[in-house]
Amino acid sequence: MSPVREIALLVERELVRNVRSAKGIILALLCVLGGTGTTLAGISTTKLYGKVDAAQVHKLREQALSAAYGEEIGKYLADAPEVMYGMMAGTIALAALLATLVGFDSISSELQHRGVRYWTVRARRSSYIAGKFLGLFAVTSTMTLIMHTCSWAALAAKSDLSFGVIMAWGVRLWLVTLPVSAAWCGLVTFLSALFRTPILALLLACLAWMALGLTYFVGKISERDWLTWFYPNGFDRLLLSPSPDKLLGGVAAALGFAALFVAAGVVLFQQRDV
Amino acid sequence: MSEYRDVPAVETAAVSADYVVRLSDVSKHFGVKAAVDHVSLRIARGAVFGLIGPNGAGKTTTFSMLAGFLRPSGGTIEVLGHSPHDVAALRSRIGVLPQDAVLPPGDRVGDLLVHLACMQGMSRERAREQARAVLAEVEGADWWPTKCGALSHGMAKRVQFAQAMLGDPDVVLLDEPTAGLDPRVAFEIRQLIVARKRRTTLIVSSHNLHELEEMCDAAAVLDRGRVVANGSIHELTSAGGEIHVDLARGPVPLDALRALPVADRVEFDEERRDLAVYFSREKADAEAVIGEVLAVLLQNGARISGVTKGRGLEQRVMELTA
Repeated sequence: MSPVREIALLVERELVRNVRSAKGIILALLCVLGGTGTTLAGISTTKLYGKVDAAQVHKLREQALSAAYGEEIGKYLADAPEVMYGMMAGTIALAALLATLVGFDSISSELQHRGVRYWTVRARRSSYIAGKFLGLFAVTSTMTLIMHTCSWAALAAKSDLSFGVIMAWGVRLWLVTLPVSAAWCGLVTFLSALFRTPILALLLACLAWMALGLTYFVGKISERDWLTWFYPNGFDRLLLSPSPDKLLGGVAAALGFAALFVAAGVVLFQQRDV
Repeated sequence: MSEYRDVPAVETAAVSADYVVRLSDVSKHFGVKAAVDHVSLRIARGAVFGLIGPNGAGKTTTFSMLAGFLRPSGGTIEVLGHSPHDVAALRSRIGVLPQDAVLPPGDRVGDLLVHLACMQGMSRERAREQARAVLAEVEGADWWPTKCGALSHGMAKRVQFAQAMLGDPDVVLLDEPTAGLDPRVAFEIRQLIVARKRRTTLIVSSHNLHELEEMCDAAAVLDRGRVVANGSIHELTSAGGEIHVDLARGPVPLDALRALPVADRVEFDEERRDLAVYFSREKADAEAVIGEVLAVLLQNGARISGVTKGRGLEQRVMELTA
């Protein structure tokens, strides 16, 4: 059996396992509530300044986004509905937390209770780690898609935006979140393979993304740009670019981050006793 | 008294000279502690082979290295001609029942077995058939939709046994297969193991020596990480140079027996009605001693209930690992 088939079977199991687990159901419900609730709140807020000149609002938005991402992205994103931009920014901000909550125990609990032994006699260890990573990525992506779909539905029902605009921006902005999510899933998979105790994997994952966030912040305020590349959320400055080169660069950076940790997880897992 | 000697690798079952498992000078260290110390074994195809020893003897460590769960610190292991870590070559050819591996509590029994069978390379349809077959074999056909977390210990053990048998593998490793099971289910599991004799090589690690004596063709006795005895069950139990005769109520001609030239020592346990005759294996073989002892007993009107050669496995293991 090829490694691809092994990985596909493992991904399928991860999806089914999460769909049926209490944790998976609760997180999915939170995504539904979060997607719908924040969108409805956002629509109400935008209606408050509905009487202000639209061109003025657009200009203000462009200035704010340019300050955050640079002029090119600022101009491009200024056309995006605020609520949809907010949904994307929120998803990126929560990507690390979501990946951690879904995946911290995916390997560590199977190591702790030795259930992993049912798989190590049937699958290459590299496939096991890759399957766990892709399974985690599939689950988190599905959850964010649920959240965004709820948001799109709320926008279609309650705002003046056309269906075409919602889908064009919605899909584009959701896709931007995927590479960032993949990067965090890679880190969480590695940490889950590192510990036999799930709570340790959870704590270290939280510490890791807080430390990386702090590194990014320090890099920003000290203008040491290289420090900002350790934090996957910062890749949005490339992923949001209308330029295909920069977009691909962002995808490569995020996938490189994920690949680095998955590879480290594979090396570690191949050497370890289970 | 324990016999600390390096036991040469010998053919452990007279089934075939075709060895499916070979351990050569295998050691495993945890820090400075040697859990397994230069162990060499060969296990013939179709044998039921026991790994015997007290707690901490290295049974489970040896078992775990055979299954590829642990990497040896030294030496080489071959299962069906491959390293235990060569999953691509061994997948579906080796089945493992790990002692303390918990079934994933959120998975349904049927789904888990189908998934594991698929991981062995079966199509989904065949995996479903296989899963139903092995589950029926352990009398668990009704558990298909049950979550593993809801199974009792005995039921979980049987599901674990079932997953080890998926796809009818060539080699099956069973670590404490009947531990914690009620006597009826334990008996059924033993029957399932015995039914696979000759077509499957089974390696069983257990504390239950009566069970191993009943099922196994051969065994290795481990103590403190080393093999202290290794051979067929017959060789292990008859190594002591003694026979036991169960006698019913009636005369016991102890003087006549003690006068026999082949008997070094004769003991009689009045309460258990057990007559033990010790002899030197250099002077006579067990069959000759049995003939002479029975002749004396019959001539003197003793009522014989049964005769056994050598010691029970339990007694032998106690001696070896004392």
